[in-house]
Amino acid sequence: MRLPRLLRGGPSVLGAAAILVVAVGMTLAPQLFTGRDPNAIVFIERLQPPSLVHPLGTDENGRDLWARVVYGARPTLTAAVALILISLAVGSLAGLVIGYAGRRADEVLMRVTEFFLAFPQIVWALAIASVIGRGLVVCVLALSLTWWAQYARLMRAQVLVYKEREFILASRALGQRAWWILLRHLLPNCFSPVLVKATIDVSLAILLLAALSFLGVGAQPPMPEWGAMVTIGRKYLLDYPWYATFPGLAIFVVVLAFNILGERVRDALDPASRIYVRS
Amino acid sequence: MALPVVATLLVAFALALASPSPAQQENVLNVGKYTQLGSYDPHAGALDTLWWTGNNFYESLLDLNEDLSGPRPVLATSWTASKDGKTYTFKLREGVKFSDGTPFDSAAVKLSVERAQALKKAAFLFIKPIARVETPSPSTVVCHLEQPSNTFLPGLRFLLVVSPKALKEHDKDDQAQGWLREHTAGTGAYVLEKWEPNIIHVGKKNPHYWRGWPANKFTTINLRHIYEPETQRLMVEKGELDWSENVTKDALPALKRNPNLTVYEKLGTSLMVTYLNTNVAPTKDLRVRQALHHLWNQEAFNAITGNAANEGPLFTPLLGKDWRMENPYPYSPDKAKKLLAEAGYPDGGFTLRYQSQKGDVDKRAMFEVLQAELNKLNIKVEFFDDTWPALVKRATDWGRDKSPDTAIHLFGYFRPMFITTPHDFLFHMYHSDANPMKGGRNFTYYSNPEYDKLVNEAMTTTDRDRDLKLSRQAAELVWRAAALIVNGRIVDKFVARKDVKGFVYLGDRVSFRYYDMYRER
Amino acid sequence: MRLILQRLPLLAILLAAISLAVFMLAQQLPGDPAFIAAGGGDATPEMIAHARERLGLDRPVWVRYLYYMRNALQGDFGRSMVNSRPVIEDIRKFWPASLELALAAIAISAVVGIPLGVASAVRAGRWLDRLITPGSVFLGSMPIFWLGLMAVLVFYRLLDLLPAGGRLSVSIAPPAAGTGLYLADSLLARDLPVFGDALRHLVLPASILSVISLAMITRVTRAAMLDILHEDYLRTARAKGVPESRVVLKHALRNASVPILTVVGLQLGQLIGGVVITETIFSWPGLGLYAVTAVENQDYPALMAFTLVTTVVYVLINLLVDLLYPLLNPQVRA
Repeated sequence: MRLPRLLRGGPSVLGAAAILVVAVGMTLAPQLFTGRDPNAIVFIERLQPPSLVHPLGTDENGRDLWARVVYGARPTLTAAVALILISLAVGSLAGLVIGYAGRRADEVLMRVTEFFLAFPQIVWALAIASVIGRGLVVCVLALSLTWWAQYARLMRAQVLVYKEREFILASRALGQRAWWILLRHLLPNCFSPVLVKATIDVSLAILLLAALSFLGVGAQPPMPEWGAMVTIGRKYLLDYPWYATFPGLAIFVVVLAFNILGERVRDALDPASRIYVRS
Repeated sequence: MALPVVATLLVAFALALASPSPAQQENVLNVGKYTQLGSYDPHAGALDTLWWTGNNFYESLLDLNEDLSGPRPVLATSWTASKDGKTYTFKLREGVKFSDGTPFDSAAVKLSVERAQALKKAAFLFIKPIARVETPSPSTVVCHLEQPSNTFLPGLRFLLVVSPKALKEHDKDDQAQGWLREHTAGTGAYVLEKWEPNIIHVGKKNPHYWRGWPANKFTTINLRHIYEPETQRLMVEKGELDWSENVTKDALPALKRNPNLTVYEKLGTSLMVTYLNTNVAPTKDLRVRQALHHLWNQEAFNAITGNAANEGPLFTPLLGKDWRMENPYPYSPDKAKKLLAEAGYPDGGFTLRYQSQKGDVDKRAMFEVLQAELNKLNIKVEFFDDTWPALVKRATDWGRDKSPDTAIHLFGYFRPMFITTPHDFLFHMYHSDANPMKGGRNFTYYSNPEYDKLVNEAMTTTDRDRDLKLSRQAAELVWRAAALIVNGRIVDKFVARKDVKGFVYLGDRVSFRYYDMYRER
Repeated sequence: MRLILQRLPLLAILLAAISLAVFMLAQQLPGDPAFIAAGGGDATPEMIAHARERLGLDRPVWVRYLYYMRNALQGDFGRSMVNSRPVIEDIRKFWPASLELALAAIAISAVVGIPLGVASAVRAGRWLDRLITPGSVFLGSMPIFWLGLMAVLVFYRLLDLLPAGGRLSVSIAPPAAGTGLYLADSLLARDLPVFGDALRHLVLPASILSVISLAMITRVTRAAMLDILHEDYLRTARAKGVPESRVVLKHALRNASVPILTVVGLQLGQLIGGVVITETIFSWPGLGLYAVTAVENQDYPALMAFTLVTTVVYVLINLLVDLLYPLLNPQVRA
């Protein structure tokens, strides 16, 4: 049986795919991976090292760390995916419509995106979350404020390339409506670089949101988001190092898997893509 | 082309790894700090400024006696009180100089009292009773009070004396607040040489200090801000720091095994309490409050945090060294369930709101231990953690509209002992006049005229025995009213290098007298 | 030059828009703005009244914005709620530390990343490339806050090689004031022990911070070199007998320098977020640690000023890179 083209590439790719399957599994059905309750507080069992009973040890309240890592996949991954989906949806739509629209609108879009791209992401998410209220939702919304602009620019660049292609001009000559042209012709053609970027961006999103949780403005305890767990674990770093190590390792492994697969997606969809052009 | 650059980098790297760690100096004490100080001005700063500077940079007429039996003389060598309790006469110590060389005398004391009264900050709270000050001679000070007050003398420890010369020289229409924020001019053992926020405070010896400078004292104190708590601990283990001020119980086993370190576990004078709101349902009902008290699992809490129990609504030794109080509501989930049923909640089914200070491990544990028990009885708890000013604001604002939707039913709180009288706790925590809207700390909104009467009389009577009797009565009264859950007494934990000796524990984790300490050869 | 003048009005509008965004964010703050701006708890009624006037609180919103702009341009950002000092003084004090950290990190990632990228391009497909390319993916997947904690464990606790807190050992006095960059200042003062100590403290945080950019720079260098290494003119040079190393270094690298330098410049901007994290882990007293403690203490004047200042810096860095691009590559028209 031949593997789909996407998965060919050796053990690393297969390993990455396996990790992602596991991660998605943990997100959708955590009960399959652990029978324990991630919120069950048992004070007598606090801060125990990894053992047969608790494979990753326990936290400061006696909660099983493996269970918390498993249940932590959901907030970690869904927030990142949501962030990219929102940015992608809003950005692509804006880039698509305005890129097709005309010179004037295009200028406006460029200036607007330039404005939104001017904000360093972590700094602004930190500021917004401090003022409005901490939490994963706020962080996702705050980050999407800058991220959508990247997709808008990417989509717009693609639209400009395709806009003057013959088959588009032909459609217009035939009197097709604008939105029909946009959806039926432009979108499918322009979408692959966006998809490539999105796949690679998910890993970046995971890292950013985990960093914000680490700094205290993202996921709030007792949510077992992996970054939030590392920041609690850092208080116990010397005598109970497993606490900070394992959730961080989980982030690393999942991000690595996304990066590996992201490369494959890129190679498969758009081998001529350059990664260093600023969108 | 790239080669020389890479080569330079490698050389620099090697240089960096090879340079030895600087050696430790004998008369220098390196302390790891975590919390920030806002200002060094003893009359304009907050309470932690008083604790901190009052032990190392400034002094008052008297200070805390280590066994908490009463005040001990510092800048005053003796004092007498008039029969009606309204006049106190102090004899001042002779030959004392400020760090700028000017002599200490009664005029300086008067000036400092007036400045504290004018600025109306934390220091003012404790000298409020003073109506006027007289200086019949350079070594005598007379304080006239508006009415007798048993909190005046112990509270005087927070009236720190600043050099009048410094006050005059650096007054830029702000009573020298600008300068005194970052400089010190007191009679204490040290002078602030440098303060870089987030980095370091450096105190250097005050050459004019009246106790003198025997050979082995620390002449320089470096307080380093190390943000990462485990790094601070590592630095003590490696000798980069001599002292770490805030150690968690979980770190103790490993620290105790280290032959280079001394671990101090001291039962302190600070109470951990959870205020219960007595003015809003369901905690309005005495039975509900008693039930909540029966749900407090002291043993579990002590096991987690390494703190201890405290029987009584205040730091009980203040009522007498051998005075004991019994807990009328010991841990008993069954009793709690019964009381809740009596109050109309046989199956729980309500939600309480709990707030406490962000970032504090012990306060978090207080919440989690209680929550675990409450959840078993189907009572949900919403948790809010925030910075201290925000907590105070929330609890105070509620007092205005008393809306049940925003009420905080449980407020986790640490109450340190400020001065060595029971009135300090009894008044500020439970008296009607200590209502938060008047700036007080009575977040339970407990208001009992009988209680108020007892405390008022205790605070103003000149008869010591009657004072004690009334205080004890008041304590028992509020104890039975279950206005708060006493979660225990803090056991302060510190870790130091083994060769640093002379540490005297002053009851809290903020006051350290570095002059008392020395490095053993 | 013409280009810069062309960009200036747009830049001004952008900066004004950014300040407007910060201003609007600050309007959402809970509590009395005058109280907050006057430094919070320690503020006297006079200070609060003065702040109220300075902020123009009794005026309509757009007037308040103008006041805010005037104050910002004069460097008046209010007082910190933690220590009641003017925020601008704190920022002035802390930004050199962050600059030193960022520059060291970018230097490490460039000095290590570019040669690695060149090597893996030149040996594309061979074992070196097979090591470096996945290696950079590996590095680029690491959460630096986690890596930093692990580094403290390994290098400070286990190996006792490098310190993990602060910029200098406690017994070393900082070099005489100069740039605020301890490495530069100590060299200028010819004070080698201080230089060594400062370097020792800089190595670990700068290395951790460089990880983000290192991966990116390696990969971009490799991709850019790969593009160019097969160009015709290089084939001509090889045919003429030019040694391979000269081909690579003199011709190829120079032509690849445009995208490489672009990404280095861009990474400098991206480092801003990483600086915040790295400074907390290594107790590095820069703007990042300042911002995090401001968040913890709800010190809003400090936080808003930090946000504005870092955003402006970020914009300026990106602008510089944009301007440099056509300068380096005369074929490109903006």
